[in-house]
Amino acid sequence: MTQNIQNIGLTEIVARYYDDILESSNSAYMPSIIDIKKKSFNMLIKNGLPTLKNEEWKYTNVQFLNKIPFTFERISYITQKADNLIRSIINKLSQKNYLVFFNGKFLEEYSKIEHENIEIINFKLDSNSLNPLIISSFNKLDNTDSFFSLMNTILVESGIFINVPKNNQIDKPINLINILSSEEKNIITSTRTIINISPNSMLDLIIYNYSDNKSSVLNTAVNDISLNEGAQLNLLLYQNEDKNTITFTKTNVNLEKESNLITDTITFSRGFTRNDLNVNLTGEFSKARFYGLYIGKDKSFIDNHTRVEHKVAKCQSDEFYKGIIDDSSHCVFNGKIIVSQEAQKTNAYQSNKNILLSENGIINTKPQLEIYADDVKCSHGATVGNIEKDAIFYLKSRGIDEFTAKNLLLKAFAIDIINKIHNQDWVGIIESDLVKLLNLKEIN
Amino acid sequence: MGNGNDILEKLTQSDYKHGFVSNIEQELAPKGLNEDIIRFISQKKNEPDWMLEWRLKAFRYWQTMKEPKWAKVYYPSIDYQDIHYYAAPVKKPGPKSLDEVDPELIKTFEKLGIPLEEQKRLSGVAVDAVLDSVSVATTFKDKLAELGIIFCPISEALQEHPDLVRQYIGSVVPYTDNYFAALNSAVFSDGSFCYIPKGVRCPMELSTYFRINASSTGQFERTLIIADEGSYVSYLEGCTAPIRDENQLHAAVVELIAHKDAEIKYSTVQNWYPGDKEGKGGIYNFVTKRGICLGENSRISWTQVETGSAITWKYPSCILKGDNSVGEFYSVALTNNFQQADTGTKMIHIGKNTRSRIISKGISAGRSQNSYRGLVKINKKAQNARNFSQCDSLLIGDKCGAHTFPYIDIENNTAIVEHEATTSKISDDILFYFNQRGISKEDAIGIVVNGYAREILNQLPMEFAVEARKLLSVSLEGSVG
Repeated sequence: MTQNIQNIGLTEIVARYYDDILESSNSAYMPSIIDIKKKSFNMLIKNGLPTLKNEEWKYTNVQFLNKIPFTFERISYITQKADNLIRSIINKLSQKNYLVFFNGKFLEEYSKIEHENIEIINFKLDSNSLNPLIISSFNKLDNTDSFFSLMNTILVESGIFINVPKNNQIDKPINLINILSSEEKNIITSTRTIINISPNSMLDLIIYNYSDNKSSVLNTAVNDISLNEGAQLNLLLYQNEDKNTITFTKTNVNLEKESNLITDTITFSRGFTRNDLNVNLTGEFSKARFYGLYIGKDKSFIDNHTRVEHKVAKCQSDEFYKGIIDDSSHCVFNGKIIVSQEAQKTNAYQSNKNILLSENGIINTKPQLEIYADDVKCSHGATVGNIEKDAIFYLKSRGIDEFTAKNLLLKAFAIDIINKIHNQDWVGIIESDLVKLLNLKEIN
Repeated sequence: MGNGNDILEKLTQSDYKHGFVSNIEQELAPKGLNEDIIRFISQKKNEPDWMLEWRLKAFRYWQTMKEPKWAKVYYPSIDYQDIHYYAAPVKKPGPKSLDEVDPELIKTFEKLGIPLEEQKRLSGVAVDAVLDSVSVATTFKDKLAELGIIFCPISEALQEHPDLVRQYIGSVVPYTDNYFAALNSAVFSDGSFCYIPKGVRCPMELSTYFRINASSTGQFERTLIIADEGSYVSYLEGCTAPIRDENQLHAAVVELIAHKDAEIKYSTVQNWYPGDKEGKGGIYNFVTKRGICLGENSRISWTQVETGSAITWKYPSCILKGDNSVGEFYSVALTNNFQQADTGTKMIHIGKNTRSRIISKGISAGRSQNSYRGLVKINKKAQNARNFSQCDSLLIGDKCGAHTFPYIDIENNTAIVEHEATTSKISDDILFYFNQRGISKEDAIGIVVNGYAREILNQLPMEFAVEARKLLSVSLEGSVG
């Protein structure tokens, strides 16, 4: 397992792991889990690593992964550096309510949760009793599963299950802090988060990804979220990862009747990031609002794929993604709204706005609609442009120098999304990260 | 729409007005596709050797390709060996004037309202009529020749201006471009050729009328239009076909070349037989249309009104290579019953200060599926490129679908690109407003649809605008007054 694996390709690496762990006779997994992992493995082998010919991966070239010699070694001992990182993040939070993960492993000694009315389980797949909700979450394999979410299902050994019981308004937000750090080895990490919010309950959740690596880290994360009748979730996914981090996240949200999802996806990562957000509106009067902000710097690659499916009538979805593309970064936005024939009286909005700052930046955007019902209001829009010259001139004519004027305009563009975030701690953190990332001046 | 079902029912009963069959003696090549058939077509046309070679190359390349499946259209697979690749009205040796042309043929075009006859000169349109695979008559040829304009069937151009044809054919749409372009390159039997010399403004609208008449034939025409420096041409294309139970294939290629300061305006009213209300029969319209703005300040404008065909699969595109060149795309696509349309455009910005504008209006009714699929690509060197796209969809009835797939690929930071799209039905409020004023629901829908498409219809030359308006009403008959 830990022998030096040289350029054998990602599929082969996963296959070797699979042979070692799952095919061996003393496998510790429950038969149902083995079954799911086997099914995933067969799908993964069948699909293979996606190529540019695959419509969902048209602009996202992942072939470079085959050239990185990944190992399965788990690096989960905390270095001094990692310890400092974790503490500095925790210190910024005014409400100390967090779960800390390091290279995919849950660190109980660093974590602190004060809620009573909430069930948080750090589940291990090789235990012999698992909550049926966890097993059913793993069992949801469908055609939206990519190579990487399947890989997650095959490789993942533990995860977090959060269950909010009926009629509970959890007022203190819960922060999931994922730190990735590897000094020498090219490692693969997998995280799995399963969230169930029971009827008429509410949860504030923040998922924060931070990394500081000297070698490549391939991280797959799958978040599976169920909102039952009348439930609400505020979810912030904030990714601030370094240039050596390759991240694939898949977030599935299922909304029952009258439930409400508010989510923000903020990506400041400098490496390779691909986010898949799938929202299924399966109960009438459910609402989903998902906003996003991505900033491409250096040679970063950021790909946001969203897919909203209106399966029943009278639902709303509101999507708004903004991006700033600088240096040699490459950003991709693909928004898909599907309105099925039953979903009359649907309101669906989608907008994607981009500022392309640099000569070498690339943006590919594809806001698409598939509509099979007639009594709907759907609209989408996409724009790409540089900072408006007239706007700069306007500010200059009022005595503001060009640099400050650009600063103001860029910040105003981004703040639009950041200010919508429900958690003020994180608004502050993200704002100061933004200023650092874009080399902006502090303007008050 | 309170009684939307009644209206839809009526709407589905509207008939195809051009569905007659002309009893003209046909010369058919045997069914099937192989190198011999291609040699047969080439020989029939008395083509130079290089043309045959090119066709054979295209055919060999086609054999290595797979039929594309990415479009949002569904149809049973096509048996390419079950098609006649050549059908022509039997030629009496050399009809010199229209008097000698088969009277049935003249009748056919009379029924279509195409001004073939000399006395219709007043309508001022030069027509090249293509029946099945062969160009049957071209009017006003001499008058155009005085200005140096060449307007003739492409088979004739191959005889008389082989160098021009050789220089440009395949230069915008090479046979390697896609499956249907390769097929067309191998078997195309005729089409129109048009060359406008330097500085000439073509004094009249040029027009081609295509008609498929014979059964189980495919029509593969190829149109090549070259506008030399500073010239201008407006070109119209119309299409009809008889009612038949089987599906027929139409795989055309249109290439436009605009040199410096030249302008080409290409308008299409496509009304191939769409199939009956059960979705049986109809034309598969798989067309590759592309223009290149080669020189500075050149301009290409596509306008299309798509109401026919069982399946439409076409993306009239502009390659904006010359600096300051402009590409435009105006489209109304109306689908009804079981029609499927996957149409849109590609705007490829290469030169500096290039501009493009896309206005697409889709109307779906019955059980049809209507997709807009477009690409706006701004290359790295295309400084100050500008694009505006708008694609709206109107849904009539709850069993149809409207889809939008816009691809926006930007590699230059001086570009400004905007895209917007909406999908909605005709709101009850609007209909109520009309009702209040004593206007029936049907009339109201008619008014709304025509208003919705007006932006596009206004782009059409006079002769076509009238026809297009009629077509829209006929296609929505029952719901449109």
